[in-house]
Amino acid sequence: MLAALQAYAREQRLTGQMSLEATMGCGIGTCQGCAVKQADKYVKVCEDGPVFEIGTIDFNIKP
Amino acid sequence: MKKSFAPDLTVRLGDLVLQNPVITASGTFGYGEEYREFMNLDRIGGLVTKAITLQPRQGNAPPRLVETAAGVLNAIGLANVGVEAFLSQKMPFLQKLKPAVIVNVAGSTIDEYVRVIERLETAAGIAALELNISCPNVREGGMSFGADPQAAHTVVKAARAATRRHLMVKLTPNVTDIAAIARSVVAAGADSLSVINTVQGMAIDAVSRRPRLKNVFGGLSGPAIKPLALACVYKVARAVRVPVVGGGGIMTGEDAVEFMIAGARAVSVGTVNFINPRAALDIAAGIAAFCRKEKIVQVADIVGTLHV
Repeated sequence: MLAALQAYAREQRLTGQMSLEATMGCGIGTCQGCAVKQADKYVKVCEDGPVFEIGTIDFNIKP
Repeated sequence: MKKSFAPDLTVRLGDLVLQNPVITASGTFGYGEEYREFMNLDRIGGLVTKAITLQPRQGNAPPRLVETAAGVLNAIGLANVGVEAFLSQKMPFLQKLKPAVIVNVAGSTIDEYVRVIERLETAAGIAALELNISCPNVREGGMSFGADPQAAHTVVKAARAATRRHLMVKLTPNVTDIAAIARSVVAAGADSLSVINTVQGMAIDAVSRRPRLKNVFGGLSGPAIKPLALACVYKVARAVRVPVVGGGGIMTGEDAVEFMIAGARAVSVGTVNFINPRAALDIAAGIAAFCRKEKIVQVADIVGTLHV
């Protein structure tokens, strides 16, 4: 859903933010379990998010 | 005997003395500093860092984590800052800690293991190295070294030659005969063994028919693996003379005591840190409570006392 929203936002040139969900192990940034891809690096939903700018998250790596 | 006495929780792993038997497992306790707000870190028995590699590693593509029955599957992929950043950014905090700081070392080649160890060798404040030859989530290195007695011997021998420090080797349960691996690693110069790393597993989403982990396979941990881990510890402790650190699904002090009875001199706690960041202290307190209840003066006395 967020991937579709992000695609729509890009198409319509909308700015905004989105709140992500991910399975978290520790919830405090140590286990690296909740990583998502942003640009060329992985960021942690628990510590670096959960709110990210629309258009910055790479959802293509989801299975 | 006084009604409430303070049992002696000190344990010895060869030259390594721990104020209590509870060590936080690699990959579940970051670089230690993340937990300072939750607890007095000086009271834990020992701390094992995330696996450190020569170069920084971003880790595997997500999803990396999935909860399963009584456990968790992970495929993090040894994400870490690399040895240089570890020494300059993480080690200064660890150096000030009172508990034994054990640095987990990983590599994809023998040369990489040796180069990480050589780089760590001159740093102050490291009590021991834990050689990771058992990670199930990396394509090269990791478990491929730990699943074969000859390959395990070769990498441990190279590591032994590169360090004067206490060398602990962490074994994988994903083998036919863990005792054979243990004997081979001890013959190559290991000072102690850490038993066990995670158990390879996978999870599937039936509707999408896709694996729940992008890496397809992951390492299973948590209470689901405790019986399996106990059997491994018992087998290894009977096969070698060096001290064994036992772990796999420990949640309580009594769980820890069971591992010690099976032959572990100390225990490592991992997944429980994700439920309770203070778990290492609570489990040590649980061990003390057990000793008081059972009138055990020194916890070390219960090691390997299984009645069969």
